[in-house]
Order: sequence, then structure tokens, then C-alpha cells
Amino acid sequence: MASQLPHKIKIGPGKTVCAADGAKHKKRFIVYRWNQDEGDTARLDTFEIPVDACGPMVLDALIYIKNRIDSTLTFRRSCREGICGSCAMNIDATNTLACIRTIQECPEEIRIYPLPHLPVIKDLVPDMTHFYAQYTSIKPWLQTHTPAPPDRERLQSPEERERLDGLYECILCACCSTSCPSYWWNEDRYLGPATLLQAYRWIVDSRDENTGERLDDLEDPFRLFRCHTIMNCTSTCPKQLNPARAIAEIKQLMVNRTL
Amino acid sequence: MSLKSALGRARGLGAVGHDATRHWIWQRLTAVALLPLSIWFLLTLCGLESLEHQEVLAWLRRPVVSTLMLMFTMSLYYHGHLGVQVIIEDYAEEGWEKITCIVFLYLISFFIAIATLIAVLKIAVTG
Repeated sequence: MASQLPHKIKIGPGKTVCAADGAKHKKRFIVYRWNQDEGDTARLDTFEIPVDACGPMVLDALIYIKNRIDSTLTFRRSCREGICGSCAMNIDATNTLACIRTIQECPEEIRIYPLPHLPVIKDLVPDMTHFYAQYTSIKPWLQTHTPAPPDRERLQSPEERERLDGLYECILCACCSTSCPSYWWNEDRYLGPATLLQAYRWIVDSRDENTGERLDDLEDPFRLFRCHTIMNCTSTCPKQLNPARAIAEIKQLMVNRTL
Repeated sequence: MSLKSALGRARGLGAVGHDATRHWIWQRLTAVALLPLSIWFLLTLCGLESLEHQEVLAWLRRPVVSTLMLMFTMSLYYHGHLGVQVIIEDYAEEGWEKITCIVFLYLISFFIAIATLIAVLKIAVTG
């Protein structure tokens, strides 16, 4: 595994680069920087850039900075249209995707940090290993005991398929989980909103035959019940999904089978 | 440094089971019960101000009042116990400190509940 941000970090002085002299429209991007050579000191670099010279999204500004000003700036990106989840980061105090957050809706000074409370590999790149392992732990695939029909796929009624709406769209960007204080304090044991939303996606799938076992695996004061309905997950989801509701539905199923 | 796999870490010691749901259910049930019981308790508390000691004892001896008083106090203690346990679990570091805090919480909760039970029953039964 790559070197990670030490537990206790200091913020040292950063550099300021003004690349927007004479530009009509400019904005200041204050970007969190850390790499393993800097030990326990991170810094906030300031880049003033002409917004007319780059694309409309925050990701475009980051790419502008990397291409034109500082090639060492490190961040993940891929699809640049809000479907891969790679560029999830904390922009202007909100977890979101840099590729769908417009520069225009941001203030004059835009602060960009990596997703909160994940170990940092470098700059804006968090270590998602544990997050993905938690996702794997809920067995996110169809589990059945009945053999599949030989001549066709397993069928669902339109109503049964509708139950997956608002769930299957999750892109696992981790914006919700890393905005959740319960996940911050207990990320080792609490599964977090993203994983629980995915768990619910398989629990309500009419084709799945392991619903009871899935609920057994979640019935735990930490894995599921550490959710205190804070709702940050729903507020921050860049795909406008509602993980808090999915978690509430799982709790309801737990109560139904207990009482 | 641990070489345990990420999935091994995520799966941890496994799920606790039905106790987790019962904890959650009781937290909600006691919260709902405390709504009317707290209003009753506060309203009666205001009415007791003008009474003498013997009159208060006579009031508490009434079966309805002692039953409501026990329901109120027991719901309050149990709700408080469940809530504080969650707070300890949330914020205390894993290890013996956390276990010690939770064990103390159980002991204190039992002590307060039994003391209240004996006090109310003593008044209700023997006067």
C-alpha cells in the first residue's frame, strides 16, 4: 500500500501562483497538498486562474492547474460526466464530484480538500481500500439457490424492477460515507451510507434469495445501527440519491423480522 | 502494521445479531413512552408544591400514581442507559477503557433503577 497521511497533520505555508494577470474573470483555488516526502506537514497552495481559459467545471480548473501551472498536483478523474465517481473531493466544504460542480456556482475563493477522514495517498487522492472492502463484504451480487431458467434470464415484474430505482444509480464515489460523522468516528466497523445503500439494493431485489442472510450480516450495533439519521449522506449525494432512506428501510426490515 | 487483508478487516468479528435491533427498538419505544410520561410528571410536580410531606406520600401511595412513577423512572433510566451506551460506543477508543465504561454504565444504571424501585414500592406498599 502507498504511504499515507500521518494521523496528526499540521498545515504549513503553501505557495501562491497567480496565472490570471489581466484576466477579466478569475477565481482563486486553494488546494490541499500533501505527499509522503513532506512528513506530517500538509500545505494549502493557492492558484489564481482565468476561468474563461478553462472549461466550466471545477475539474476543468484542476486540469488547467495541472497542465499549465503545477504538474505535480495529483487527483483522480476519468469520465468527467458524473458517472465514474473518480473525482469525488471536498469542494467548498461539500463532498461532491469535481466534474459536475460548476466554477460559476462556487465563491471567489474555492477551497478543495480530499474526501474527509480517509487516509490520503497524495494531494486529493484518498485511499479507498477499506471502503471497497466494506462494499465487497456485503456480497454485492445476485445470490440464488434456484437454478436459472435454461432458456431465459430471471424475470422481474415492472413493480419489482421499480424498487431498484434510486439505488442502482449509486456510483460508489464515497461522498456520502465520508460526509457522515458516524463513519468518521467508526469507519472500521460502521459500513457507512454508500455500502448500506448498496446492501439494500440487493435486499430488495426480487430475484435475490439470500435476503435473510444479508439481514443477518447487517444486524449489528455498528455495521447498521451506527447510523444516527444525521442525513449528511442525502444532502451531499452528487447523484441526488437518498442513502438515509435506504438505511431506514433496512432498519424497518430488521424490526419487522424481530417483532 | 498489519498484513490482514482489507476484506478481513472489514468483516471484523461478525455481526452481533438480534440484540442490535432490540437495542434500537427499545430506544425508540422508551422515547415514545417518555413523551406522555414526562408531561404527566412535570405537570404533577407543579401541583405538589403546595402539599405537605404526608400529603405527597399519600398521593404517591395511590396505585395509579406509583405505577406511572415507576413507568416514568424506569423508561427514563433505560432510555438514558441505551443513549449513553451509544455515546460511549461512538466516542471511546476500542479497548479496555471502552469495556470498563460500558460495565460501569450497566452497574450505575442497575443501582439507580433498583434504588428507585425500592423507594417507590416502600412508599406504595408500607407507606
